Amino acid sequence: MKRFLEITRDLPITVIVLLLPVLICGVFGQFFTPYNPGAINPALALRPPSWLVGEGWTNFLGTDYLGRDVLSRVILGARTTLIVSFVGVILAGLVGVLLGVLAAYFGGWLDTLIMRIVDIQMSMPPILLALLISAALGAGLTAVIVVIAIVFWTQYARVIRGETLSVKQRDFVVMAKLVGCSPRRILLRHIFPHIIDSAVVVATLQLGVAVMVEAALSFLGLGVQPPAVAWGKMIAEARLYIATAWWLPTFPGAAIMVTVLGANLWGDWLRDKLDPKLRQI
Amino acid sequence: MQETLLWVEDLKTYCYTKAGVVKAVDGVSFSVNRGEALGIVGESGCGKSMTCASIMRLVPQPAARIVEGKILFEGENLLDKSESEMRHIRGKRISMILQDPLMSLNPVYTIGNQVSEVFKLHGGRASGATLRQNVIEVLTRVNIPSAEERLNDYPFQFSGGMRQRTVAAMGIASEPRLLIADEPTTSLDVTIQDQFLRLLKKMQEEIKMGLILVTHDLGIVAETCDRIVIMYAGKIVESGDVQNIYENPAHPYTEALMQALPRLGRKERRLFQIKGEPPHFLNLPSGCSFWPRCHKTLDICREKYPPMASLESGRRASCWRLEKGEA
Amino acid sequence: MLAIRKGGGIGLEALIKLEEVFKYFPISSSGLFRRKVRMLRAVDGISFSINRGTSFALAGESGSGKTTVARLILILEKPTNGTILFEEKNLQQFAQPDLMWYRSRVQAVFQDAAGSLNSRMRIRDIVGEPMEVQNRRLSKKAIESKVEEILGLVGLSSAVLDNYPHELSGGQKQRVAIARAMILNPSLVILDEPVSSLDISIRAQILNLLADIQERLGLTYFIIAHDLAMLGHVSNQIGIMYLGKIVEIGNTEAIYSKPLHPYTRALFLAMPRPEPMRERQKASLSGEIGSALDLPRGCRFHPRCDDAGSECRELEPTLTEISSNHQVACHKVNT
Repeated sequence: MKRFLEITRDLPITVIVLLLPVLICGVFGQFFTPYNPGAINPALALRPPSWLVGEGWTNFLGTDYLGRDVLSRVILGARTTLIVSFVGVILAGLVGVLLGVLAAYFGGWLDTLIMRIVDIQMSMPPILLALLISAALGAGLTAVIVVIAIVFWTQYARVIRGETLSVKQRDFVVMAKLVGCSPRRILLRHIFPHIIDSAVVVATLQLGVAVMVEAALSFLGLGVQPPAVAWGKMIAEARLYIATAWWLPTFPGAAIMVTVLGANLWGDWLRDKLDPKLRQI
Repeated sequence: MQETLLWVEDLKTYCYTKAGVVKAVDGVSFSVNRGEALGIVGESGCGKSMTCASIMRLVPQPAARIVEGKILFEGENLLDKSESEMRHIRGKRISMILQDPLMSLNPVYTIGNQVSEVFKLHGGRASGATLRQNVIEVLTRVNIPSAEERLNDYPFQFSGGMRQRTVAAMGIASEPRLLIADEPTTSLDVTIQDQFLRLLKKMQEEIKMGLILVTHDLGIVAETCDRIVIMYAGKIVESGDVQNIYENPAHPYTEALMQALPRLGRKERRLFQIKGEPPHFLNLPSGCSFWPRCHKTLDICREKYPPMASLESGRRASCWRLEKGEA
Repeated sequence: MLAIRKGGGIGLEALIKLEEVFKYFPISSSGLFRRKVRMLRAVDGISFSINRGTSFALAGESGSGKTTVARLILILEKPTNGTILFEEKNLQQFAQPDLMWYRSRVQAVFQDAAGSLNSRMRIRDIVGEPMEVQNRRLSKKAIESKVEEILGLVGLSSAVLDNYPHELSGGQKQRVAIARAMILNPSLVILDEPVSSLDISIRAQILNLLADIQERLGLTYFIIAHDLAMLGHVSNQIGIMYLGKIVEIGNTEAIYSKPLHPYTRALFLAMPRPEPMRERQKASLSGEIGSALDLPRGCRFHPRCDDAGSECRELEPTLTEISSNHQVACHKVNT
């Protein structure tokens, strides 16, 4: 914990600037949307962003075809994005790390079994997987989270398996065996703390991809259902209006970009920070 | 007749870290003559590798920088040269070989390919059959058996000793004036090490090459070098002829090292031990860096760093006791 | 020499005995159509015993098999053949509780101090772990006081208890590793190149420390190293290994004053000595160290031996006693 705090102290300003707003919107968004994001108001449909037409602050980013305020929907959409990507990635991580560690530590048939499953799954196109799962679970938040967990765990498993294999060889692990530590103790106290860094890096790098997957699923109609708001959905709904109401796909798209960029920069920075070879004297 | 090949004067290379300035090389002066072998001895972190990197102008900038000093190679100051001029010197007139041959060789190219690359870079026109011949010749010179058949082998097919010899071959291919070997035998077995050191000596005699051998092993230096320079915490504490220094060390550090070495034929139960540990660069003691571990400290040792005193027959050491005439 | 307790007497009983131990590793190289399995004969029939309170060394270069012997003794590997007896108990017949007991009796200190300490654990936890694992019912206070005691034994102050390994120097790290090995008061400690990765100015300190601890706790040491000068100081008995076999074994003083096997002699010759005026004879040894995958017929050393005769190329020599406590495996010496 102490280490986590001293690392975050150095977070580069770009990451903070990009991700903090998304975080705030996601957590507290519903308290400061200027309008009710779900309020349908046909009279106000398809109004352009107010600052462009000099109307002050109303409908700052315009309205959609149902008269709903775009800004409010973008703010609220952050929540879906955050929930789905965080929960999905963490779930994938739990499964992937566990299986990767077990495969590497115990080796033998367990390793072969787990790795074959990984290989098989990785050769299936993710979209296909997503469709199958959604078909089975129905559309909605849970389905999207499950899709992300299932598609992403394999990457963890592979990376963590490699890390575990190399940590397993190190002298301090051998020493732990020599004093009589049980495999459980070795895994928890000795192996885990040394692979957690890699897992965290994989997680942050996957966040960006998860956001895009969620957007894609929403675009295909498999994502969250109304009244929940999702950026991908907003873009999907704006398909017909790209030429006439450019603000409809643009702002949610920009929001996605900001989030993904922020997550990627964060992941890159974290990886460099945690790389032991680059540590200070 | 001694011809000075390398003259290093008051070299200072500092590393700038978040935690402070590390004076890795702090005012180091020495020289190497043609055909002579100089040993640079010291423990880890004493600055010996950084000294070599400075000579080759391979100091990792911007974190580290050569701050002051002169490095005269065959009369020319290397510190005044541009990077492209240095590229012509490196590998051709001054070569360097490092500790781990596995790291020095590229695993995806054949031995023949890598050795010929050195020729292509520095040897000029040779190509085709002549090039191949040159490669075979230099590999045979370093005692690689059946060199011709092994041109297409990859580094992993060679043993550790053979890899190091290949690296040495690449180092001497262009018949450099000076070869710097940084801990070249640390990763080798003792019988292989013996072969390798003899090889270096032979090369040295054949091409009249100057050799700088960096190591922490006092035994290797005794058998391979003519003169020796001993470093501690970034400075030279003693330098001179190998024989003089081994028989009659002047600096307390040298003296203590000689006594603390396990030797064949000694039967004491306990070894002479030096107290304390080598200092950390960010926490150097005041005055002479060795005083906390020295068994002969004077008050002044804690206050000021002793100047380098010239003793008999080209020997130099920096110790207050010598300055004051007491041994 | 170290470790000879005057008065109390060294136990003359063997603490650990290896009898005709073999360890082969199958190496399979898969061709396109068939899989070739060759045997790496890492340990090819060795026997020795170590008496209580003494220090036994195994010397050799890479490929000699000495590390594998240590791993066999530590039950990190199982012998392909042969027996290892510890206090007359056969290691291969150990059940789980016996194994736990063994782990408290036999400990190890490895070459790379930094690598042998978990960089995410504090010193107090690293040194205390063996006790925690062996006896769940011990109170934290009991463990802590023992940890402090052991740190004192190895010359470290309690100030380091809360440090992490990277905050300590190389010498201090090795002392921590030694403390951890000693905390359970083992009978046998395996030392794998205990000082070769340390700075030369502190090696003597650590060697002296090990000697002192041995005397104080009545320990038995099994040391693996390649530095004959160092081994000469720290061992009572020594065995020289080459490609899986012991070629010379016996009392250290006897072997050092009169090495008989050509390989042993070559090792002594090859050793760099801090004596500039020493006469340098011709090269100690030509050729490469062989491979345990591809052993020659007859004596495995004959390809590099200047004195090799026809018998050497055909028949493997066995260890024969030359004088009391000095055995050599060489046809030329045994005739």
